[in-house]
Amino acid sequence: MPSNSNQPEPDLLQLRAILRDELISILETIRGAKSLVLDKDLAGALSSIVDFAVLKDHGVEKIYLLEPGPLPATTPSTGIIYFSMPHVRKMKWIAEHIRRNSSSPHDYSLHLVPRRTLLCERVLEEEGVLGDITVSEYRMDFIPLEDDLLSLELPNTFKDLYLDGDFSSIQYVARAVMRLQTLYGFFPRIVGKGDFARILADSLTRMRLEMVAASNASAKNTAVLAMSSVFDSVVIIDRAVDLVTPLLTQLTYEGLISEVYGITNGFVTLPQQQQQQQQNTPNTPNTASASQSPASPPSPPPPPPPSASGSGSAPRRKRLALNSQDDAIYRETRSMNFASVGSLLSKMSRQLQDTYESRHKAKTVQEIRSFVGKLGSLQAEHQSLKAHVSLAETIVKRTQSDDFNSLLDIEQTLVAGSDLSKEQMAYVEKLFALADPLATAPGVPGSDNVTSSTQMLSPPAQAPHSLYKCLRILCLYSLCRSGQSGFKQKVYDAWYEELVSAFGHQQTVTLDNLSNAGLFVSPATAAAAAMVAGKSNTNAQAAAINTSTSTGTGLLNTVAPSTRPRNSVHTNSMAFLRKSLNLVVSDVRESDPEDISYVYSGYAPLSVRLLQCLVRDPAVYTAPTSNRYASLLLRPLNMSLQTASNRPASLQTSDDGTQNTGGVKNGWTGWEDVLNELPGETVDLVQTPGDGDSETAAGAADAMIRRLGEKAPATLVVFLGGCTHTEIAALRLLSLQHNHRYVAATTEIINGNSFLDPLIQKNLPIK
Amino acid sequence: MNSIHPANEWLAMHDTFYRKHRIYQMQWAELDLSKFRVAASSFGGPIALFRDDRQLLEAGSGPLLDSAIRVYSASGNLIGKIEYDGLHIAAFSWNAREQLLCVQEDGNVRVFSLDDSHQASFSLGPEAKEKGIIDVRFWDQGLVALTGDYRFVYVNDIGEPKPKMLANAHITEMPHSWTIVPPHLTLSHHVEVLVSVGATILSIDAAGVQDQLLDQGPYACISVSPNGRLVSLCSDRNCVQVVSMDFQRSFSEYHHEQPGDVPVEIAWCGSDAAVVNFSSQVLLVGPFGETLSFPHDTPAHLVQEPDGVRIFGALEHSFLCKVGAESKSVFQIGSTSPSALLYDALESMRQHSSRADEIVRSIRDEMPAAVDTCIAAAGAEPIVEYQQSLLRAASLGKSFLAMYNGDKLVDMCRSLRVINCLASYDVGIPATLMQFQSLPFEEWVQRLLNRNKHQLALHVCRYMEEPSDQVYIHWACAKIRASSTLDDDALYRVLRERLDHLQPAGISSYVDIAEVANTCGYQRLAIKLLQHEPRAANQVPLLISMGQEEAAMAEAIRSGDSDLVYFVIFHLFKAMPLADFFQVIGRTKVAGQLFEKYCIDQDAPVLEDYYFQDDAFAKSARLILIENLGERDVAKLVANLKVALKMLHNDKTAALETHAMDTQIKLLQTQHQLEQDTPGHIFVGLPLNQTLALCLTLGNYSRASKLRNEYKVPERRYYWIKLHALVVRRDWAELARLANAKKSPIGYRPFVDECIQALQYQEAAKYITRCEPPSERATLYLKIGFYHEAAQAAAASKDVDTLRQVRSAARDPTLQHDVALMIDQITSRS
Repeated sequence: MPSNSNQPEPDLLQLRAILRDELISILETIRGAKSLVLDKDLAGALSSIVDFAVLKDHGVEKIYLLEPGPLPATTPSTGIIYFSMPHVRKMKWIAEHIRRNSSSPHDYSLHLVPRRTLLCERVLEEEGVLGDITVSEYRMDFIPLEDDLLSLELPNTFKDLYLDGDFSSIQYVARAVMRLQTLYGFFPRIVGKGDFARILADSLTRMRLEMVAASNASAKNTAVLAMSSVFDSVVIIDRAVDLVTPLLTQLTYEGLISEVYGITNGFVTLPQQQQQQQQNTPNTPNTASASQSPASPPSPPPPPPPSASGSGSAPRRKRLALNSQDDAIYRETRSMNFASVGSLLSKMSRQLQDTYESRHKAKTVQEIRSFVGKLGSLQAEHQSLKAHVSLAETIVKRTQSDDFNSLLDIEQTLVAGSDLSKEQMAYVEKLFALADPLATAPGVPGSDNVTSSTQMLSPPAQAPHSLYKCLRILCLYSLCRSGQSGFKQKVYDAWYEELVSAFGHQQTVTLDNLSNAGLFVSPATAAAAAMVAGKSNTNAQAAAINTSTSTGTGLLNTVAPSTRPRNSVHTNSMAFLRKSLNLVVSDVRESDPEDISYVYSGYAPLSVRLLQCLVRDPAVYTAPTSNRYASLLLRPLNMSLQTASNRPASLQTSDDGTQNTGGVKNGWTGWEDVLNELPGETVDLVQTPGDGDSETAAGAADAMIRRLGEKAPATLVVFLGGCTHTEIAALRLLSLQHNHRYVAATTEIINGNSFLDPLIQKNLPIK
Repeated sequence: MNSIHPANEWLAMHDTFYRKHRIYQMQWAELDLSKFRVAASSFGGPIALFRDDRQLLEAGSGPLLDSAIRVYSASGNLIGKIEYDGLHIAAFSWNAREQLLCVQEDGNVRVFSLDDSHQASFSLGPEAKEKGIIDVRFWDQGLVALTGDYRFVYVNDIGEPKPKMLANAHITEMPHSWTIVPPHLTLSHHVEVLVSVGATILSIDAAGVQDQLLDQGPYACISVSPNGRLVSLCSDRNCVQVVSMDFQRSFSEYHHEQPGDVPVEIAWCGSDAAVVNFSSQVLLVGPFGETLSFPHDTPAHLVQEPDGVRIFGALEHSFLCKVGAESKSVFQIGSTSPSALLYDALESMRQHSSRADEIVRSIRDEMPAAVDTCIAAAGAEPIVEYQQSLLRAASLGKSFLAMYNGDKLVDMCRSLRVINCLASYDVGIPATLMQFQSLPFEEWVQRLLNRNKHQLALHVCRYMEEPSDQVYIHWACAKIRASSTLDDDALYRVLRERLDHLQPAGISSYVDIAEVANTCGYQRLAIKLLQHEPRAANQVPLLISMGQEEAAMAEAIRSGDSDLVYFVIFHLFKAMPLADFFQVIGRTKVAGQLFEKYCIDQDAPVLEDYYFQDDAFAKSARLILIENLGERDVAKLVANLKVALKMLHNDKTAALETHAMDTQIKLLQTQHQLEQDTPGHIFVGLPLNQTLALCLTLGNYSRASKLRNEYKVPERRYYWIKLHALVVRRDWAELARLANAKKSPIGYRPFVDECIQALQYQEAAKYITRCEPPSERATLYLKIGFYHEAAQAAAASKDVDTLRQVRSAARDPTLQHDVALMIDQITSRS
C-alpha cells in the first residue's frame, strides 16, 4: 500500500498486543497452575491472540473445550479459568461442572467474552453457584487479522439480528468501535445503511454522550474526547443491505480457498493428501507445529487451537496459516482473481529458480556469502510457494469442473437480471435429485471434523451436492428475481417440495427461517409484505423523523428490523440498483483489475459500491449512456457541473492535484433514490467535538469535517453480520486506487455456506 | 514570627533529619485510650473507638463505655456514633473509602459508612463461622482473618466478597504475631501472610507455605515497608531487625535495652526507618541501627502513612516524618544553597535591608532552581506561616526571572490552601501534600462529604475548578434521608429548585439520588428523579426494584442493550403469573423475540405455552417438529407429528408446511414398513429421495416404483435418482432397461456422465450414441479414450478441433493417419 509518510497510519496490529496483555493479566489472577476451559466459539479467536507457549508460560497446564457433562478428569491444579460467550446454555454447563466437583472445590473463575452480562449472573445465581465462581469479563473486541482487517470473530451475527431479533452483537460491536475511538479519536462522521446500522450508530452516540457525562463528572479529561485525525469516518454496512454478495461464489484466491476448504480464524485446514505433498518440508514456517504439552493426558481431546492441529484428535489434517505478515506470496496473491493466480505463481517460481541458479554464478567469496545469507528467506519462500501451488492446483481442478462452471453460470445469469435457462433449471433439478443430505460445506463450523460418506470418497476437486449449494442458488434466485413477476409461485412451491424431499422434513424449518430472514421468500409472502410496507410507508417515515429528533422512545420500539426495502418506489429494485450502481460490469480485466467487479468476474459487491457512492468514486457512474443516466450524473455535483457530461465524481476535484482523494465526502447526499430501494434506515451523523450529535446538513458541521476529516488517511468500514473475502479484496483495491486506507471491521468473515449455516435446522442427534 | 523555626523541631539521625510536628491538641477530653480498642484510618482519616470488652470495667466509669462505636476526627472531635449491637468484634478497621469494617467473632463482617448512607454485611464462609475469628488484618480492598483453628481466610475485594482459604500451614498454637503483605506488594499479585510461629516466620499464600528458617523469634510484631521490599521485626526480647522481603539479608539490628518495655506495634516511617511503639516510648530505628526516642506518658497509637507516621495519644496528635531535601536546603542551619539565600533575601527585604538585592544578585543563574526548591519546601512545611514565607520567597525570586512558568507556584498555593482547610480543627483531616496528591481529588471531596461538609466541599470544588456533581448528589441524598415532614412532590420541588439554581447545566446522574429516595420510601420521587437520568443502564435495575416493570422494559429497550432487556424479562418471568407475563412480553416485539430465543437456548418448556397462548400455530408445530428430531420411536414420533399437523391446519398461510408435515407422517409409516421388510437397513429419518435411492440400491425396484407413484415424485427426479442408484449398484441390465423403457426425460448425457464417473467406459459408450446434440458425442468418446468412435463422430459433425485433439491423443499411427485424412477432407471442402 502506498503510504503517505507524513500522515499517521493507524497501527491496528497493536490491538492484538492489547488483547494479549489483558488475557495474560487474567491468567495471573489465579495463582499457580491452572486449567483453561474454552468455549468452542472462542477457541479459534483466542488462539489468534496467544499461542500455547505463552499460555504455558503463565501456568496453564491443560486446555479443555466447554461441553455439557462433567469436566474431564478433575485435575490437581487449583485454578480453573473459563472463557465463555455469555450464553445461558453454557452457564448451565459450567454450573454443572461446579456442582459435580463440589467434593474437591477448585478456584473457579469465569471470564465472559466479550462482555459480562446480568443475565449470565442471574443464571449462575439461579443454579446456585454464583458464590463459588468469580465472574468477570474479557473484553475481546476487534481482533486484527491483518493490518487492514478487524474481526470480532462472533459467529451467527446475521441470524441473531434478523432471525432471532437478538441484538446483543450490536452492543459488542459498539463497544469494540468505542475502543477504537478511544485509541484513535472519535470518528468525525458516522454514515451507514440498514436498520441495525442505525441502531449501532445510535448506541455509539449514546455511549459517547455517556462518556462525555462521565468525564464531566470526574476529571477534565479532554483528550478522551478528541476527534480522530486518523479516521475520517465510519461507514456501517448492515448485511441486510446486501444479501446477494455473500451467496455468490467468490473468485479471488482467498475467496476460493474459503469456498473450497473454508478459512477459520485465519487458518485453512487441509486434508492429509495435501500434507503429504509437503511432507519433505517439515519446518514450514507457516504451519504451526504441534506443540501440545506432553503433560496432557490422552483422554481429553485437546482443542484444535491454540496448539495447532492437536496431537491425537485429527492427525490426518493440518492447519496452514493464511496471513500476509509472514507470507509474502500470500500477500501478493490473496486478493487476485483466481484466473491470474496461476500465472503469477509460476512467474514467482521461475524467479525463485533464477535466484537459486544464481549460486552457480557466484564466484567470489562475497557473492557466495551473500547467497548463503539469502538462503533462509529463500527456503521460507520456497515452502510457502510449494504450499500455495498445491492449494492452487486443487482449486484449479475444482474451477475446471463442469459442476463449478454450471453453478457460476447460474450465478452470473441471476445477478445480470435474467431468468434461468432450461438447462440451468435442469442442473438445479439434478442438484436436488443427487443431493447428499449429510454433506457439510467449507466454511461451516464443524466441517473439519464431520465427513460424510461422499466427501470421504470424492476428491476435493468435486464438491458434494450439499444443502448449502442448493440453498445458495435458491436464495440468490429469490433475491434477484423477486419484486417483478420473475419469481413464480409455482417455482417456489416446486422447490419447496424438492428441498424437503432431498434434505428431509426438518428443512421446512430452514425454509421458514430463510423466509423470515428475507433470503428465500415465497412470492405470495413477498407481495403481501410489499402491500403492508406500502401502506405503512408513510408511518415508517414519520417514525423515522420522530426518532431522528429524539431518541426518546428508542429505535428498537419504532424500527422493525427487516431485510426488505421499505421505501421502494421501483417495482424491480434489483434492476434499478444494478443500473444505478453499475453492479454488473461486462469487460473485466481479471489480471489488472480497474474495478472491484473483478472479485466476482463481472459483479461488483453492492456493499462496496455503497462505499464508493460515499467516496464519489467514478466507477459507480460509468457505463450506460441513457438519458436517465445523464440526470443521475448530475446529482451529487453542485460543485463541478462542467464535468457532469463525463466523469463527474469528486475524485478529480481535489485542488492540490494529489491522488489522495479517498474518504467519505458529503455523506449520502444525492443518493436518496438508491437508498430508497435498499432495506433499512439510513445513517448520516456528524460527531462534533462538543457534546451532543446532530443529524447532518448543518453546514458548519460539514466544514468541520472537511477540516478534520479531509486529511485523515483512513476510513473504517464496519460490516454488521459478516463480510466476505471478496469484499475485503474490493476494499483493498479501492485503497490502492484512492491512496486512502479502508479498514474493514466485521463481526465475522463469512462465505455463502457459513452465512446460511446458522439458518439451517440441523438434525439433532438421536436421543 | 512567633512560631518556632522549623529546624528547631528537627532531630538528626546519622545524616538525615526527622521531624516530629504536633498537628493537634486532641479535642477529646482526656480520654483513657487504654480502655478502648482503636482503629485509625490512614490519609488523615477518622479514628474509631470501641470499648475493649476484653478488659474489666470499673462500675460507673461513664457513658463513653457503652456498646457504641464512637468515631472521632483526627483532631479528636466526635463526628459519628455507630450503635453496635452485634456479637463480639474480633477486629475492625477502615477501608480506603472511609467505611468501617467490623469483623465479628462469628465470621460475619459488617460495613458502616460515616454518613449512614451505606450498611452492608457479608460472611467469611462456613469455616470462619464454625471455628470463629480471632484476629483480622486489613488492606485497602481486602482482609485476611485468622480463624479459631489458626488458618487464614482472605477476601480479595470487599465490594464483591468471595472468602477463600490460604494454604494450610498446620499451625497448632496461637501465632505470636502476624501481618499481611497486600497484593500490590507481592510478586504474585496475591495476598500473602507472614506469621511468627516458634522461632521462625512462615509466609503463607493461596498456593503454599514457606518457612523462612529464622531462629531469633518469636517475634512480637512484624511490619512490611510501604514499598514492599523490607520487613521490620521486633522480637519479644526487644530486638528490632530490618530484613529484606525474602528474609535473605539483614540490614539493621538494634537491641532495645530497657527491661519492662514491651513492644506494642511496629510501623514504617517512609521506606527506610522502622517505628516501634513500646509501652513507654516510640522508638525510631534507622537503616544503620541508630535510634531516636520519643517517650510518652499515656498509651500512643501509630498510623502509618505513605510518607511518615502519625502518633496520637490521649493528649496530642503528631506527625513524624523525614525532612525532605528541599526543606533541608532552605532551613538547615548554615545552608548556603540558592534557595536558602532566596529565603534570606525575603527576610532582608522585610526588614527593608538593601542586602536583599545583593543576595538576589548573588543567586543569578540558579534562581529557577531556588524558586522551585522554595515552592517544594512550602509543600512539605506544616506550619502555615512558613508556607507563606516560602511562597513569598518563591514569588520574589520569580520576579527576577524573565521566563518562568508560574503554574507551579499557583498550583502549590491552591493545594496548600485546600490542605490547610482540610487540616483545620473543625474538619480534622491532617493530610500532607504528598498524601493529597496521591489520591484523586474526588476522594478528598468524598471525605468532606462523608463528614457532611457540603458547603465546604462545594467551595473546594469551585476553588479547584473541578466538577461538583458529586457534592450535589450527596447533598440531595442527605436531604432526602434527613427530611421527614415533606411529601414526594414538595421534596422534589425543593431538590429541583436547589439543583437547578446551583447547577443549571444539570447533574450527570440521578440514579443515586433516586435510589436513596426509593429506600427512604419516596417512590414517586424516585420515579420522577429517574426521568432525568441519561443512562438507561442505571435506571433499569432500580425501576425493577420499585416494581415499575413496564417502565423498566421500555428503558431497557431504549438502551439498545439486549442484556438489560433480558434482565427485565428474567425478572418478570420469575415475578409474574405466567399469563400476565406473556401479555407483557407479547406487547413488545423485541422482548417477545428475545424471550423466544432465551427459551430455545434453555430448552424451556414454557415456550410451548407461550406459542399456544399467542395462537402461533405454525410456531407451535415447528417447535414440536424440532423437539422430535431426535426421536427414534416411530409410533411416538408419528403421534407427536400428528399433533403438530392438527395445529398447522389452523393456519391457512402454512399450506406448504402442512403438506410437508402430512407427507412426512406418511413417509415415516412407509419407512417403518420398509425397515421391517428389509431388516438391517435404516430407513426411518431419511429424506424422501434417499428413501427411494436406498430402495433402488437394494434392488427393490418395484417398491421404489410404488413409492414414486405414492409420493408423486416428478419423473425427471426419479430418473436421476434411479440412474445414480443403478450405477452405484452396477446393475447395467436394469440401467439399459431404464434407458430403453422410453425416451429419457433427462436425456442420455447424464447416463454417460454417471458411468464415466464410475469409471465404466464401456457402459458409458453405450449411451453416447443417444446423446443430443450429436456434436457432443465426439468429445465424450474422446473423454473415455474411444478414439475411433471419437474420430467418426467428429467427422460426422465436421468438428475439426476435436479431430485435432483425437489425433494428438491417439497413439495408434493408423488412426492418426485416418484422422489426418478426415481433417484434410473437411478443411479442403470448406
